[in-house]
Amino acid sequence: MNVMNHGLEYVASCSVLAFACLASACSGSPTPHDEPTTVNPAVSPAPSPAPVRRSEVVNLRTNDAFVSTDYVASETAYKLFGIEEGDGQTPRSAILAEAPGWSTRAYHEGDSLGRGLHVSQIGHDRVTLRGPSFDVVIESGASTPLRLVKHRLDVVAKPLGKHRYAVDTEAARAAPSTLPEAESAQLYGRTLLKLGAIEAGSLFAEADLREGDLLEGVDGAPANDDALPGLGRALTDGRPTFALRVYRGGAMMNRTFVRAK
Amino acid sequence: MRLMHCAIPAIATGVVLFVSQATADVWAPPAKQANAGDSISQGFSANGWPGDHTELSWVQGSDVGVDSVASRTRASYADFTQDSESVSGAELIGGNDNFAAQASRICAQRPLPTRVHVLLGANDVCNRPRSSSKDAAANLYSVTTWTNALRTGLDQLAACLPPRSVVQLLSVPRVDGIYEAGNAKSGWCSWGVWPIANVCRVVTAETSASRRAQIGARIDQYNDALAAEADSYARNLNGQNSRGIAFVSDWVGSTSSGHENTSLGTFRFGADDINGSDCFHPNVAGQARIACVAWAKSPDGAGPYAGCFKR
Repeated sequence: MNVMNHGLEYVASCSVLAFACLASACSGSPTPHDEPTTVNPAVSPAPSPAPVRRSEVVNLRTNDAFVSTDYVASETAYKLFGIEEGDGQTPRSAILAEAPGWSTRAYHEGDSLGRGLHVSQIGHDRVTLRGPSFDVVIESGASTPLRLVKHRLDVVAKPLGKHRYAVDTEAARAAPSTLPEAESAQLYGRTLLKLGAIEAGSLFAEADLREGDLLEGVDGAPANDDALPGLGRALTDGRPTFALRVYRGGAMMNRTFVRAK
Repeated sequence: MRLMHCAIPAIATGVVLFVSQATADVWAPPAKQANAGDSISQGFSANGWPGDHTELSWVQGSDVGVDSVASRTRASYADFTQDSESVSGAELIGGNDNFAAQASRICAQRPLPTRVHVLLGANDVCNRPRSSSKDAAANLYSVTTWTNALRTGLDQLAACLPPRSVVQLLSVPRVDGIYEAGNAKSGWCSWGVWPIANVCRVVTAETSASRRAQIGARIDQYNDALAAEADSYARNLNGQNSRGIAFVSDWVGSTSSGHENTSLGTFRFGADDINGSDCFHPNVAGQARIACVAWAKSPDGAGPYAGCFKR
């Protein structure tokens, strides 16, 4: 981990900051909310009764032979909010939302949706998803039902909404644990870790962290050299719950992670 | 169902009695309020302490200095309750807590609310990467994407809320204007907190005023779409609102078309309206202004709004 000190002097000398640092909100640990530890069915697609066949799986999990029971299918729907052309430096993307929880992300050509579909083409007003033996075209503003196949270890931290996540410990242990680059930064009188690029599919990407996020340590621990390894341990050691404070874009998010199973 | 069209000209000319009486006759009682929103609705840093301070929120707060929509409603409806779904960091379009997600959570509430206030969109702008092309807004979501995401939330509310409920869509504040307010507030903002905390870098790292204005112009387009959708649902032009739910917006047009300080989206924030710690979120005075205009532009409080923006 590449740790550097950023702007300590001018931050510490700021009167506004000094005022802010006296606040109780600036000290102490984020407190886990008293929230249910089960996944809210309202945000989960309906499981599909039909077992997953080998022919449905385009992307086998690395080094795995196909074992039917390792894969699960759900009946869900994807809605295309729109196509983003970008500035010419960033590739065109399709903004897809998954019902019923409506989690939304930008997909680029080649990105996978689960194990059985990938984005094959992004047009000006539509996206084409390619399955093992079929294509699905979703037009802008339209919603399409899909059978989504995932490996049982694909989802590390399932978002429950309002910054709560259900952690699948087994999936977390199976995810690459590559530590992102990080540097120390001072904000509001606290030392935080500013994250660099995060490897796609890594434990930290799966925990919904992004480049530029500012982190405290787990459960309010100092953001020192052990903060990111500590987060890795918290995700994988099966503890019932832990809290993580993330600053993103100027807003602070108190996240609560609970063990899913 | 034509209230929205009647209300704006009526308010502008100071004739508000008709609107208030019509409201009492037409809309479901404000027994319960829900809201969809982001850190602004969470009262984030409103008192200068980093973090959510919901008691200082324009919509759900209890602080007398803010005089929130909830406080104003409770004053006339004693059994009023509220259940907020807003969450800091939320976008209207992206992520796990977007408008469609928050709308689905509102629809899962029991009892269902009869008043829903929506204020989202600033993060949709602030979270986008800066553009390297001539068009500073090139990496912002398109208006099509914006509108489809908005409809996904509104469709759910139209389908689940009790008949004659009221949904209010507040326009998105111009973040290029908030940048100006932060710059006026303190040098600490531009060289201290904004780069370290990554505060809305799409405008705070942009040195060209004309490029920042391009960002603001896209927000105007979002707000035009917001008002058009409110109108479409209110009059059931899209066939989604068969149960007579009111959809109202505060937006009447952009500053460039002569409507400065007529809505949240055209309010010119000043240094006195934003907090001194992140120099971007509204402080107590700013929250009070938002509460004032939201109330004045709602059927429950319909009244003059010019005073909300007076300095």
